[in-house]
Amino acid sequence: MMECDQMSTWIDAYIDRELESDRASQLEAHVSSCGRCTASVEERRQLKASVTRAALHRPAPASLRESFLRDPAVRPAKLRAPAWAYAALAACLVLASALALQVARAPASSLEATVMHEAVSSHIRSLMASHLADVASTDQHTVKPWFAGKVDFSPLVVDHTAEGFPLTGGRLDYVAGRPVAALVYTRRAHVINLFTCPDALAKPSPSVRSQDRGYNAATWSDGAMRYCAVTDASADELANFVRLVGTEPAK
Amino acid sequence: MVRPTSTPPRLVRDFPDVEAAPPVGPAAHPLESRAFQQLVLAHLDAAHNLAWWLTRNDHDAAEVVQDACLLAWRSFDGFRDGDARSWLLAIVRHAAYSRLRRGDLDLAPDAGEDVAGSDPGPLGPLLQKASAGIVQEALYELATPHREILVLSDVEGLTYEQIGRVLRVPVGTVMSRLSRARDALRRMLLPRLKKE
Repeated sequence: MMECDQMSTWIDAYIDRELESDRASQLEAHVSSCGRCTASVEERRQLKASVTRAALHRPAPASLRESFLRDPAVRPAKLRAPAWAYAALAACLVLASALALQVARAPASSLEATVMHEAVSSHIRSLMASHLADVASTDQHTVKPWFAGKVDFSPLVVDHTAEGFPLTGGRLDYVAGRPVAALVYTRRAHVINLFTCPDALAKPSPSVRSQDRGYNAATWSDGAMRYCAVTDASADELANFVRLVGTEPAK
Repeated sequence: MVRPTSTPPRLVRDFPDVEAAPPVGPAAHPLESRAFQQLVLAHLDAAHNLAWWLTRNDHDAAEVVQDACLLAWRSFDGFRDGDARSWLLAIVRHAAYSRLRRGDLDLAPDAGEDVAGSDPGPLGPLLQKASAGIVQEALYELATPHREILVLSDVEGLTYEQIGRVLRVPVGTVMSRLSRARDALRRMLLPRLKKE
């Protein structure tokens, strides 16, 4: 049938929601009275879904991110160590953080332990490089929009000056294999870094603590976002801060 | 404060390092470099995903991404606001094809393709049970043009307009190419699904 031939050229755009609306209504009208085209639409949908469902995304390995951070692509690739060397290094780092997990005080899943370990490293780096904030502002309405377009989520940004934990800024950071929003708060002379990124497990979990290289860390998830706070302030101060952020689920 | 035992890795965001480096691209300014770094970091997964599916191995994918970063850095001056992901993916694609043409890539050959056969009949019920492994294998073996457009659309989730920007073709062409690619995938899947 001529009409079916015409429709078959539209079906893919239709299931991708890319067909212009007048054509889409034409196609819907035709499909409602044509068994063959109904089957085609269904099959194409299944075909697309089978690819999406197979989870074929290949994200950048940590080694690649590290080499990019070390060297912002201003030198040709040939001068660098081969990829396997970075892979070996990454494997050592994973092993090291796995060992660090053994000595953490609270029982933590490997995800939580990795997040806290890397967050502490990031905290230390931010202090050493005097690079606390990309956007220095105590105004949450300046800090929050700054993240738009830099990360693929919108972090919760609330200033807690009234409670003694003023917001001083934010920056883009990199923890546990993905870009995160880092918010910088201070408590008297102490700095608190609050890292936020979407929770890979999408499961609310109450906070888990650790002490790592002299810093206190806590991580928790409200199901949508994972949070990790790191500070050299006392564990009690950290607990107060976690309560203040207020996204921790009830235990 | 605890003193770490080793020097931390140097980051681009440490301004003095960048300034000391000889300017390579037109945008060799510290502020530019930080904007550049953030832009690339935000889309590094997408870049690697496309590079991997064009080269089909880890080593070459990493090399292609590094080539692409260099190219992106050089042309960053020309990029202002806009669709950064499509911009970077177009560069990744260019980098992959350049290596392909130079013969640098150790590519798995595309499987024999597009044997016009009779209509294999409805695939729907079989597709519902298709394992991830079978789909991955079929996509892996598809010819590059089919593979890349399916990856951009159904793995990366780009719109037709964005795909058009990456492939540098009009939306109408995206539509017909994607349709042909799904035909090819269907033909590739069919014998595997029947075997399974």
